[in-house]
Amino acid sequence: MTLDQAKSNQRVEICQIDGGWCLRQRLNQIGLYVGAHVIIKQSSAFGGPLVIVYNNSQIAIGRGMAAHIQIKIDETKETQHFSNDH
Amino acid sequence: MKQKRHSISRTIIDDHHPHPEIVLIGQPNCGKSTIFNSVAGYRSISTNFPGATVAYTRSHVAIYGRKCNLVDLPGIYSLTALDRAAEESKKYILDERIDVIINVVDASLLSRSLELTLQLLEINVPMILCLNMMDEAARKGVDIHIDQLAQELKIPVIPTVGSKGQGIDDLFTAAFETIHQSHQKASLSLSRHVEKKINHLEQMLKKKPRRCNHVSDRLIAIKLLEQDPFFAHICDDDMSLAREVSVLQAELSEEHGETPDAVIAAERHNLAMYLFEKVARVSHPKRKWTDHLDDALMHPVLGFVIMLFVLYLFFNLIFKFGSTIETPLMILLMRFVETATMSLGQQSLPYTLLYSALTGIAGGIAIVLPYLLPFLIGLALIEDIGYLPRIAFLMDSFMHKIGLHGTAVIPGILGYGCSVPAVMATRILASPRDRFIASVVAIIIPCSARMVVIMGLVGYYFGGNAALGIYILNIVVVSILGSILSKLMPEDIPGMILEMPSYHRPKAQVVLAKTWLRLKDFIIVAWPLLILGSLILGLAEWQHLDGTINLITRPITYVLDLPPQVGTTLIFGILRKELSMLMLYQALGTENVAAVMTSTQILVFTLFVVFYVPCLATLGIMGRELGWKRTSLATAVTLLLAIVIALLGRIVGAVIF
Repeated sequence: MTLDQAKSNQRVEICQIDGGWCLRQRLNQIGLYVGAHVIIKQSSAFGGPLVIVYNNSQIAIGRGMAAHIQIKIDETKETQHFSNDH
Repeated sequence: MKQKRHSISRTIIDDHHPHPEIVLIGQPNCGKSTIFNSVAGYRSISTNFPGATVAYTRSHVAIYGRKCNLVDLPGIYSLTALDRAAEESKKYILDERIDVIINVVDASLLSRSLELTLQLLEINVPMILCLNMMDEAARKGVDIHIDQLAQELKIPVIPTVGSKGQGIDDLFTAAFETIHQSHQKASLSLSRHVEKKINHLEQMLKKKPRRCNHVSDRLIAIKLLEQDPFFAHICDDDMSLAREVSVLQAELSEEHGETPDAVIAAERHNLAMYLFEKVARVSHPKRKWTDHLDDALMHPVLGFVIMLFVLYLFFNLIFKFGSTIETPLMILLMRFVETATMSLGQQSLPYTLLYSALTGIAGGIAIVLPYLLPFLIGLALIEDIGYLPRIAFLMDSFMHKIGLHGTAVIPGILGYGCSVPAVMATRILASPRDRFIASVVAIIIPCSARMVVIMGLVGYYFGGNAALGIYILNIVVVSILGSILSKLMPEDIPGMILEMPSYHRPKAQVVLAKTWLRLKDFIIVAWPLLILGSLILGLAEWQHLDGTINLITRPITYVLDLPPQVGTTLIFGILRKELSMLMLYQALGTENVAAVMTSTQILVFTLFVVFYVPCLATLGIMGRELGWKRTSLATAVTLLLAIVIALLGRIVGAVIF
């Protein structure tokens, strides 16, 4: 599944980034790379951007962009808001 | 080459180049501008959103009696530039003379920030690390072992809290000391097989003539493997190098099952993470009440309600404040002008000159300041709290409808202040097409100068809600125009990635300093123009020359059913938008516009001024940012738009009034 399909408060792991060099660089720069764990803080129903939390940063990411990020839901750890995932 | 360069800078610093160049480099919103301002006085607009600085600010400052040139660069996430602002930083880093780099880091985001630090270490320039926002890090439960970090990186590490001025002394003392030391920065290696490939390329590059002084062969080798287009030209004239690069890239992909750039990024990330875990302990963050603020402010329904309420309050307060002060101030000043010019004969030249000059001065004090001052303070508050990125977040879906994404809201909002920084802020957008559409949107949004016209005419004669109506109409027009432009220039919108920074309590001192910096622009640039314009118009009238100008602009004033005298004021409005209204008083010979113009005419005039041709300063910036072809196109679009909307206003006016 892709990041835009994730639900609020889910903890997910990024498996793959479908896109070109620019998109990969953009995502890598802000710490989103394959293997990163992020928490969905908000995923609104109206097609607005998602808010994700990881490593102390909070980032809004547009749905179009989120659709390029393949994820799997991470159930190993208890999901909690604002946690530091390392 | 590199050795030579540094021995030169070491010996010459005290005679030929007495002023060392100190450059602040760091990721967006890590507080570079705050540190810059704390030593350079308030010269670089600091705000609480990523990408606030889009052009570098260079200032000659004296710190403890030692002079230096301090440079504040736009924030970059890495040495791979993906937008214009980052490009500007990267070019500066690679091409300009730098004696010491201060790498500013948001301590609460250390692990991510170290990825940039690792890249900067590859540059042959002395460097120190500024661990800024230590208070924020403590609150988030990040405890950093500073000495150990310094040991790992082999550079001085100085903890600071820029917003409170803590550690700034130590920071610059360390910076000055570092200039004179030969730099032995750490060389932190990636995993062995990747290093082998980098070393191989490095050896090949060593044989080539050097292009830039600061950049090590190692950095170029890494960038070539990463397929950074900025460095690709290095291979242009060297087929064997190009071949070698692609062979090594293929090997990397094969070994890791990833693209070479992703391999390097992951390697760098792992190294940063390894360092971070070695030097930092993370405990449970202390929660602050502002952590819960986002639940309301970014809520899909409540968030919009709050945003609309905030904006409504914002404009109403400005209007209330401005209109309360404007009337008595205007009466007072006009009485003064009349008394001062009484002794001179009505039609004499001295009378014309004095009267025009005084009207210009009075116009600045009585009309512009009452609205401009509260507006600028309000804007500074919204910026510093950190609300702008939240607005960008809320507006993302809406912005997609007009073919842009949420980030493009930021130039739009800055456009309410002044179109010049708004057009410059479009540099945070990646594609030229996005920058064009966002620029057109930004120049149509009424800047504070046009706000003065809206408040002073429509607000003053028809009330605050009518003024708000103009703003709402403007947003509707902007959305329609945006959709049309994006239909004409279809492109896949990559979408938004925007950091939501923590909320900060705005500091009175910073808010006032920023307001003053922006107000100064009005006082030293616009006000003299206003007085000069008033003088020229007065003289033209005295010589009966204004008739000619009014004749040239007559086609427009005729179509819009405006008095012919208005023509000159519209020309002056291109110099500065507020001139159009102030000159109106001069051209009509009265401050009571309603005595000369009908309600419909006042409405039509305001609408036309809001939308027509951007002012000279904006045109200049647009020419530089977008090129003159696109600027002319944008100008033509706005003029056409202004005529259409003003005509609609004429029809509406005929029905209402």
